[in-house]
Amino acid sequence: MSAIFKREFSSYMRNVTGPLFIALILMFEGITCLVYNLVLSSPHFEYSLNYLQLVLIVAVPVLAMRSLAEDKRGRIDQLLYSLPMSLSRVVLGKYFAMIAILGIACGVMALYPVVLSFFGLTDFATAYCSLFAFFLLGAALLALCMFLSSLTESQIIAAVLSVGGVLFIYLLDMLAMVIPTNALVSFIALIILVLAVLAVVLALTKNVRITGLLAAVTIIPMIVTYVVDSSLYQGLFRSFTKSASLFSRYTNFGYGVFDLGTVVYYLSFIAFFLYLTYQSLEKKRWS
Amino acid sequence: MIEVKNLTKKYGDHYAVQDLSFKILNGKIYGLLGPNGAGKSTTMNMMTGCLAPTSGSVSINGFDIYENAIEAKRCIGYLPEQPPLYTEMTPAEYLLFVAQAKGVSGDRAARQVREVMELTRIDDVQNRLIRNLSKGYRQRVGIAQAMLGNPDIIILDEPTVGLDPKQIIEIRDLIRHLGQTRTVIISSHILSEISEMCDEILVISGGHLIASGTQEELQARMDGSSELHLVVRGDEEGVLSVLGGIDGIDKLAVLPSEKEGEVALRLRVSGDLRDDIFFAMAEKRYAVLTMEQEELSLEKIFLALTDEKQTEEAEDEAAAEVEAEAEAEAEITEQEDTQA
Repeated sequence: MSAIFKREFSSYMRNVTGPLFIALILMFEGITCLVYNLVLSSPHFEYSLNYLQLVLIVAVPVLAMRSLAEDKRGRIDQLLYSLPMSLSRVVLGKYFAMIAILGIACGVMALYPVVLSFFGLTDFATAYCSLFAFFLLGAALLALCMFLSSLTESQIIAAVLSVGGVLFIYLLDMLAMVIPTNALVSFIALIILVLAVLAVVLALTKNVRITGLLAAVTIIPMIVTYVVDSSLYQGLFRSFTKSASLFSRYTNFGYGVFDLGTVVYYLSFIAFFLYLTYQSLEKKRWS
Repeated sequence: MIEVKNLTKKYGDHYAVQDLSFKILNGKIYGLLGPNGAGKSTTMNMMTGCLAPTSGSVSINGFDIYENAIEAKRCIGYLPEQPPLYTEMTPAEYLLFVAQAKGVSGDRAARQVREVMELTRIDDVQNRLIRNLSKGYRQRVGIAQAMLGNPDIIILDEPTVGLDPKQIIEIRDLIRHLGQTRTVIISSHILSEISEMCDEILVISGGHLIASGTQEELQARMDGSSELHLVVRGDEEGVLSVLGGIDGIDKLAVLPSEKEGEVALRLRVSGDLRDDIFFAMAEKRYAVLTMEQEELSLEKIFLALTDEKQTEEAEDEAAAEVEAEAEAEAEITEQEDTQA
């Protein structure tokens, strides 16, 4: 795994994408920090960081687009498949290389609150929690975009898919506002969502038994609860959509709320997409 | 040792490889021979774990390529049809990466990289970007990559495709050198290459293994169906009855004879029947005017094996043409006669 990590990391740094990613983040953080903290004299570093999530919509797809698409196009995946190494380690090595790039950007930003503290009262706890959440948000989006990159041979298509995917997640908050709170609508929407996830699992694993088992443990309890007490579904889909949004959860950190549930949510989001990436690579072998 | 059992790969309704079984023993150079699209690359991809078979199994030194993938893959070095190179790296960096990814650590990795670079003679370009290297050098970097980690078995898919003659000779020398200490499997659709380098030949066509053995064995096997061209003075019925008494004639075709009172025949025979035919004919007082046995070259064996059906069809066509010509000639002579 360390060999893959080292190669990927040095490739990102030598290629334009790594420095570009770091530069994009630092430049926009520089601008918001200048306007908010220096010109408007606010000691709250986290506020300036709040705007930075918009940059991720562009920056993350730029970094992740080549992670797997490039290997496929150059037929380098055949080397990876024939290495005496599990594919999961290949996926992790590649993922951690991107995380390291994100880490560099966050590391530089970690100096800002220290600098700000010379000029006013900086709340270090809130500032660094916010930075930590920003790092996790970036990591979660990178996992999603890495999966999308594994679906195609073209970096451009990977980038377009990634921007679309990240933008959709960003707009999920807005979408949540217009969702009806009716119990039946909630129930049907959730069932459709579960079926969609199951379809993806089935397409990637081609394993009817696992998919069937997953269907049984999700759909049956859902139907039972709906029959027993349909009022439980009142507004459930709306709150589900809201809580599924990576971005609104991040904003809470900016207000100084350290939410452990959000950390767990980000981590499981990452694990889910890394697993899908692994399955997507395995699937190519079985096609 | 590699053991391939009932290997099958199906894409939709099309079988790329069907029910392939063979064994690869240690310390020899094997050649996978077959026309384009015969399933050579598919077979190699399945043997190295890059592609999962629809059914069947591959075991390498006793390790199943799927159940004990890591142990099995440690025993193989693989160069796919297109060398899997990171073109933005230099050969030295790339090879160090592959060595480390194969689990060779620290100083040993650096030493191994130096060794393979010397063997494949890429040390003079080791610090240039792979992107800027010629095809021959890229191919050598690919072979060097397969040698890292000291695998017992090296599998090279069409290693000489697209190279110039000088490079081909260099790569062949390298493969022969590798074959002294390891098992090497190469694939090619070029016969001379396989017959020059390999100890054992596996002929694949249409996803089937149609023959295997040393070059001599293949030749011997095909001697069993060599061709004999025969012209005998006598009546057709009598000649055929004499031939009917001889064992070992697999196929018999009567060709249109050039002269009255002569019978021309083409036989496909097992073994050398020339003596038998000669004496049998002599006994019945039929004079053998021509008897030619055609020794099949590897080229012909290959064509015969991979393309049996097509060659037969082509032969029938050729025979039909000969007949048509004979008829045309007969017509001309008829016309001449009437004119006279």
